[in-house]
Amino acid sequence: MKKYTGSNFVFLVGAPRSGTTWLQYLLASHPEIQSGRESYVFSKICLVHQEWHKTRKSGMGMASYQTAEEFMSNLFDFEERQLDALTKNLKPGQILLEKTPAHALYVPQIAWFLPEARFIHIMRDGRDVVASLMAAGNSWGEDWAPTSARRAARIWKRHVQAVDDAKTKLKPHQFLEVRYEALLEDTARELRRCIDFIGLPWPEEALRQAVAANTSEQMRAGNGKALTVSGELAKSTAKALPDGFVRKAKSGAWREDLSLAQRFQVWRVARKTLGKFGYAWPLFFL
Amino acid sequence: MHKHTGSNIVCLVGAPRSGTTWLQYLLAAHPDIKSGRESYVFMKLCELKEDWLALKKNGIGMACYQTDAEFFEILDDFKNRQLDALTKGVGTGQIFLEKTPSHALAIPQIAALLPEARFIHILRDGRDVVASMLAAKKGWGEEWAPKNARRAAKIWERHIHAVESAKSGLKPGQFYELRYEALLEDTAAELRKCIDFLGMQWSEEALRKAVEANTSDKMRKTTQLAVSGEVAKTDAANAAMPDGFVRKAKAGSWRQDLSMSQRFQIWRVARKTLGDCGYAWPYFFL
Repeated sequence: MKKYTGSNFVFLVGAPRSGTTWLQYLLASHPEIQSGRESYVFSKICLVHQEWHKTRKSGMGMASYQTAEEFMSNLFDFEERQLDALTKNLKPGQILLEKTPAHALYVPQIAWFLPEARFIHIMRDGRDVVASLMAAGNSWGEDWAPTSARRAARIWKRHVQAVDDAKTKLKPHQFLEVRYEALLEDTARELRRCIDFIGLPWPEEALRQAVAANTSEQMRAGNGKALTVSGELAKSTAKALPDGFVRKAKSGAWREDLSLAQRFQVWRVARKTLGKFGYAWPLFFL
Repeated sequence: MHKHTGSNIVCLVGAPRSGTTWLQYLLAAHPDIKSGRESYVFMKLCELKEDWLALKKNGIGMACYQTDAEFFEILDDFKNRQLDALTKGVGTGQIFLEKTPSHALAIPQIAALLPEARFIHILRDGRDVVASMLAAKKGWGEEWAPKNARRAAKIWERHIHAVESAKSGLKPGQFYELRYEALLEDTAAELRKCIDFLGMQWSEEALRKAVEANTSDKMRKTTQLAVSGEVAKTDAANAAMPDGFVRKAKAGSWRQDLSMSQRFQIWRVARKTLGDCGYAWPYFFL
């Protein structure tokens, strides 16, 4: 894109309910990192782009009325103006941290639009993700979250698989993966890794403060880092995080949360993927 | 960039395999009606808008960064440039006939984007539509056509319901419906009614010529509509109609085409909708 290379963009992605919000709050505590709510700024536009090429293959679609250059110029202008809105308050030298979990599905396309963009992927044990997705599906997230273990496992698998496919095509300095379990175990250490990857200095003292200010208790009480909302929703007074959004903040809680039948469903769908990423699970009843 | 209101755009919609292409060819024979291949242009435009609004409702999305007015201006510019490409060769007083069957599913959204757009819906006996979709599956339409009668019947029903519920929201003069069976029985008379709906002149002589030039026998040997843009770079100027695209061009041949179990599947799914549309079918074995 003419105006944006993405050098000051960091996309935080992952399967939903993998701790993306927590890591976002931690990072956004840095004075030079700006972050807001999930923008989905690339998800639909990537589908528009895909559809153009897909229909073109069949000799149809807008490709039978306009050249690729004409389409791309229009699409880029649209996306550039959306990015203008997204980065309105961003000052030179600052980083925009964009956290939309679903962007995990569009990493190659985003990197194509913004060749210098960087990505942080937070990976979490799929079994815990399933338990959390289902808890959301039965409460605050009923709009979007699944209530069946099989579907939840598929969502997790689709996201981590998409990122895994995409990361080999990115330059090494463009991609960092963080484990939720490691972030839980030593938050300060993993946060430091992220900040080093982004390339910003942060005194140890300030980093520790950020960790202390964004514990699960603090976030549950609504005291975590406040994200700025401008635009149309600035007028809304809704809470940043719905009740139940910050759940147990534990790893391995799936053992209490999932019934044997649900475990079996997750195992059937995702055991191979789980194994590939170090969450080996040979027998579902263990 | 032109500000499109849709006054020169007519959307020809219907369930796939309902004769949309035939009617398109008939109408496009009029010197002041321009037409081209299926553009799918409105599907994604509508989705961009719907997606933005749906996310906003959940307190997320680009509405956290821009106002309604800002977004709609950006979307409008994108839309207008896409429609500029679509209607490139359309002169003053002429209309562009856009035929993408699945636009049937998005009529209210299209009307919101283009308040003056008009719609022609071609309705065909769902049993013949199912038979035709299943035939397409075995040949040229393998990629998109459904694999069994139950699914095919559901596709038909979904399109019919979508149009039916959209009708009431349109202004008089914005919507016209015709039957495939009537078009088959007296093509010239039905074509005349369409032309009258569009408010255009056409001499009886020229209209008859259009009917004769687009009989099923001639359509089987005809070429696809001309393209410009990207597809023109690779496709032969006169790509042939896929083999089997123009099929029997008959009404009621489902009686020969469908097995008893297929009939039963359709009857179960769609007998009520068929009845509502005047294709009463009390017993599937009749």
